[in-house]
Amino acid sequence: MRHKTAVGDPNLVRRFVRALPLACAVSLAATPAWPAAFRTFVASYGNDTNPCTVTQPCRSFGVAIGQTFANGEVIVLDSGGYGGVTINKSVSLIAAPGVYAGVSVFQNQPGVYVDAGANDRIVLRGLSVNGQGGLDGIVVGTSGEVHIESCTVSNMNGIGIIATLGSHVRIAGSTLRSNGLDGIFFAGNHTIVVDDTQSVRNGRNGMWFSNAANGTIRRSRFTDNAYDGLVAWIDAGTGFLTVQDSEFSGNGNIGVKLWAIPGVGSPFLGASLDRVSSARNNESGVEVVALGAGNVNATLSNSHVVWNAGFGVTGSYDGVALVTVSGSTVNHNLIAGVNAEGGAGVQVGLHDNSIALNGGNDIRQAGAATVRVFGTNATTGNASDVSGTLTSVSRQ
Amino acid sequence: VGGSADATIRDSAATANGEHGLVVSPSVGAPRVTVTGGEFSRNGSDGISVDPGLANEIRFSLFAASVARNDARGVLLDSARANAVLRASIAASQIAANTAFGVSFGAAAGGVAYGRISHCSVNENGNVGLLSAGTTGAVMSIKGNTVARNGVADVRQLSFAVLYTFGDNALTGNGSSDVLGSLTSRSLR
Repeated sequence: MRHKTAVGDPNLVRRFVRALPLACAVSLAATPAWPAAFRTFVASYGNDTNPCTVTQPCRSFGVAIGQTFANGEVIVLDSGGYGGVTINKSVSLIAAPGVYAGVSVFQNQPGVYVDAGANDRIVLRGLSVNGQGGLDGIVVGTSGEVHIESCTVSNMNGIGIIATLGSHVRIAGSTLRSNGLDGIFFAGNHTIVVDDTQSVRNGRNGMWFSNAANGTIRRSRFTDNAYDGLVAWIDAGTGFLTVQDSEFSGNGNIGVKLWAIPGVGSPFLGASLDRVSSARNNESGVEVVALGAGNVNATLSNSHVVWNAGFGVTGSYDGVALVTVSGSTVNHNLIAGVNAEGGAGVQVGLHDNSIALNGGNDIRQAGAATVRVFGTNATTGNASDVSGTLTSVSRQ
Repeated sequence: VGGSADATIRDSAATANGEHGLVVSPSVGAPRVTVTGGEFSRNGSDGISVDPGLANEIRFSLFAASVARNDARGVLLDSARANAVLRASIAASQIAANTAFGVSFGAAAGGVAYGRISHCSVNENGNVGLLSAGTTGAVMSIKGNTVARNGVADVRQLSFAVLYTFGDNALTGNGSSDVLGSLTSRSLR
């Protein structure tokens, strides 16, 4: 067990505070005296003294937003760089397919900073946020809904998309690539949905999901990141995470990490992973850890966990870790296929799985942990298939 | 896929090529090649062909893919030379209507092959659905598959190869033509 990052990192808070004045300056600069419109336009040939119309577009997002009514749209007319921006109301920034809408992020600036009302809805579509010494790409502060669609955030020194205050964040069809820390960092009592998104080759985790939150991940990939593919880390309250049709492979540590680590009270994490692939990670494929008063209920079904250098699936420690694995393939992992170890609160149930050809053992039980089997799992067929004791349970 | 590096192929299609859809044959080391999703169909020879090439070992997995209507085998897993090792898993995939075998698995003299086929549909292939052939170094096990309506047999063990079954595979149900050769039963846990 290793702590390589910390929830509640004060650096994250300081990062907001440092970024705010600069971002506000970008937003408030040179607002012209033109009547506002429901739809405004920016272009590489535009000028911020223009009225932001289609024939007289503005040059920057910040000025165009100032010229746009709440719930209006800012349209990018052609490819170019449009600068960092603070968004303080309901608005959509839209670049059509085929138009490159770049946001270069320089030192001590956020790329796109959302600091709006608690009920405001913001849409970012088709933006390319590229770090040029800047810290974080898209920073979601106070907001009602933020939809990040078909955006790319790359080469930031910090985090690709960081959301700590928004109540609902949806990331769809986007790429988080080669950022210095996490691709996505999400913390707080909110909802996040990630669809059809890739978070790859980031310097820390593909995605960090923490505290009391609801998360859904579908058809997405978290691969080749320096640490873990996905970290769900609950240290207070209750969090739920649903993952479908997604991949967590080739990461430097663990494919999927599901942890309940008591910080306040008895944290609970409910996690459901269906049709997930976790392969070739340098440690375990799926790791479930519950410490002390921590509680994790995890289900892995119809999934593929192979070629990992640690365990395929492991549940451990002295909290309550209830893990069910069904209909899955857990083969070719280096240390063992399925591992359960620690206190009596660690209970792993196995039904209708292929658990074979693993190094060490296919199934390993240690300490007071329990492994329940239903007479439906296929191990390799050798004497060394099982270490420890399995508890047979009848099917009904 | 040659060379020595690990490789991942995701949600990709290799279809209607003159020869194979995908060839995995590394030149050195022990690479891990994972294929997740995708389609390998209507190729002029095998859908997927995997052998250790000149490497010491090849480690291959196929998950949630479709391999259909190829003009030879659906998937060939062959530890084709002495001292070579092949480790492979195929899971949750559909391997259907290929001209010859659905999955052909084997090892040459002095080679070793370990394979697990689980939760797959292997139907309507022209010859055998699942074939384990060659020397005693070829050890294939099958768990929870549907293997039905294949031309010659659904499951076949040939020569000295080993074919473990866990007794939970659904074959056609035609009695003697379902299985050729000798299967070795293994108990589920």
